[in-house]
Parts: sequence; C-alpha cells; structure tokens
Amino acid sequence: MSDATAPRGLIMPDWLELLLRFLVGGTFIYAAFDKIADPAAFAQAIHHYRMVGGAFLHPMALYMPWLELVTGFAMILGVARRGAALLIGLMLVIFMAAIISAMARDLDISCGCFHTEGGHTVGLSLLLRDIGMLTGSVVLLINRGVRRTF
Amino acid sequence: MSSNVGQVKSYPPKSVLREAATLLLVALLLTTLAWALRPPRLPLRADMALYELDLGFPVATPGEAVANYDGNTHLFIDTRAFTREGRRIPGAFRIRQDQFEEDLLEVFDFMAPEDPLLLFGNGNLILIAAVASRLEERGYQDITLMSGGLDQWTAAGGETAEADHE
Repeated sequence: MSDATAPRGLIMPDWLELLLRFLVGGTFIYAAFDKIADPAAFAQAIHHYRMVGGAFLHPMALYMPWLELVTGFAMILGVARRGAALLIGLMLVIFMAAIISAMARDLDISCGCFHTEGGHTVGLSLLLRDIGMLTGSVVLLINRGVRRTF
Repeated sequence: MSSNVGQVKSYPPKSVLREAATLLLVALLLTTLAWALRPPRLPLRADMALYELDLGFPVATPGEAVANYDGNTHLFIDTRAFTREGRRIPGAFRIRQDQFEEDLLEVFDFMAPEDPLLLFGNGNLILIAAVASRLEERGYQDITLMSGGLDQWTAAGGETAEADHE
C-alpha cells in the first residue's frame, strides 16, 4: 500500500482495542439500567442540573438511558462500533458540559450517572473520569485496526 | 476472523455517520416500545411546578393514588378543611394543618409509623407537604403526596362519599 492511499489514523493492538471497548461499552450499559428502571427518578436527577426545560426533560430521561444501552452493547459486540464511539463521545461531551456548568454555579448535586439516587457528587473527579472515557471513545473512533465482532 | 488480523481497514466518515444514525433509531424504537408497553408512563411533557417545588416527598398522580386505594396499600390522609368541601374519600383519616395536634390524637391509634401514608388536599402541594413534614417529624417514614384535588381523583376513577359537615 502506497503512502498516498494509506488510511490515516491510529492502529491499535487488538487486545487493547477489545479492552477499551469492554471498559467504555460496559460502563455505559451499567449506567443505563437504573435509569431505564426508574425514568421519573432520572428526570429528577437531570432537573437538578437546571439546564433542561419542561418540553425536553421527560423525553431526555426516557431516551438517553436506552441510547446508552444500545451504544454500550454495540461497542462491546463490535456492531457499528465506530458509530457507537462517536455517539458515546458526543454524550460524554454533553455530560462534561453539564458537570462544568454545575460546578461553575456551585450546585451541590449528585451526578445521576449510574444510580438515580445518591451516587457521585458533581465535581472534578467526575470530570476527570469522563475525560478518561472520552479519550477512550476518541481512540476507538480513530483506530484503523481490524473490525472484530463476536 | 483470524485471517483478518493485521489488516488495516478504511472507514469513510459517511459510514460512521450512517452507523450512528442507525443506533439513534434503534434507541428511539426501544424507547418508544418501553414507554408504550410499561405503565405507569412518564408524561412526555414535564409539569415543572412539581420539580421546582422540591417538596422532599414523592408525588403520586391521582391515577396512581386510585390504584393504591383500590389495592389497599396506603392509609389516606385528608388535609383539607371539610367546611370548604362537600365530598371525602371513604376511609380517609382527617389531619389538617391548623388542627394538626387534635386531629393526629384522634387517629393516632390507627396509624403506625411504618404505615405507608398518602396525603391529599385541594391540589396545593405546598399545603399538603406542610402536613407531611409534621408527620415526618413524628416518625412517619413512608409518605406520598397526591397531585391534584378531588376533581382529579374522581376523574381518575376514585370513589367519593358525602362529607360530614361541621
């Protein structure tokens, strides 16, 4: 393959790609369960950020957990994994924007990330965790290695 | 699969967008199915008044309250002043904000702290929450407030009886 036609991007070892897919995908699947079981409580958790109005609050509380579940499974199974990496990355950007906004307004709230009640308080550690996950999803998005499915 | 190991694949940006759009649609389909098939359904438009109040107690819709009444799962507490209302929910105890001590004394023997209580009133959740807070101070741990008043209760299929006038 000549340099002119070589695809640009990262070529990551298979084992590392698989590990990243399980970490990122598994985290999103785990995060979805509680929210799917109790969308009303998740809507309350979203409302605590005071960023979403009445027209979008419930549709978001209903849709986002299923999107997390679908993208998580797609990531782990290797089906449409780059599309899943793109969506997970976008979701993480939204989550990080919400966290930064809450921190800027000194809101003392739990993040609603994994459990609809209790859980992590919004803060720097949460932001760092999301940055780590975002890095993982970007790496998976630009990785040009072999597409592996089960 | 092993024959592919070591090969480098090209993914045009369009295919990534197509994959993302497919996943968005699948999630939308599952959301719609889950919402349609699994009651009680979260209303699509949120009543922000309920969120803004931050009452500190769970709020049940009149429909959920009727289901609790029919299932005999909760003790119903009427927080209204009876002189203003000619109807009541049969079997409901009366505990009013302005006569809290006297009313509680009358029903004290029938209410254990662990009993699930469902408080209702004229639809003003702040007034109902005021009674709920005082009950909570007295050790009652499982308190739910009903949104709406008796008109909404009746519309949801709940039964009423004539109130005793004072």
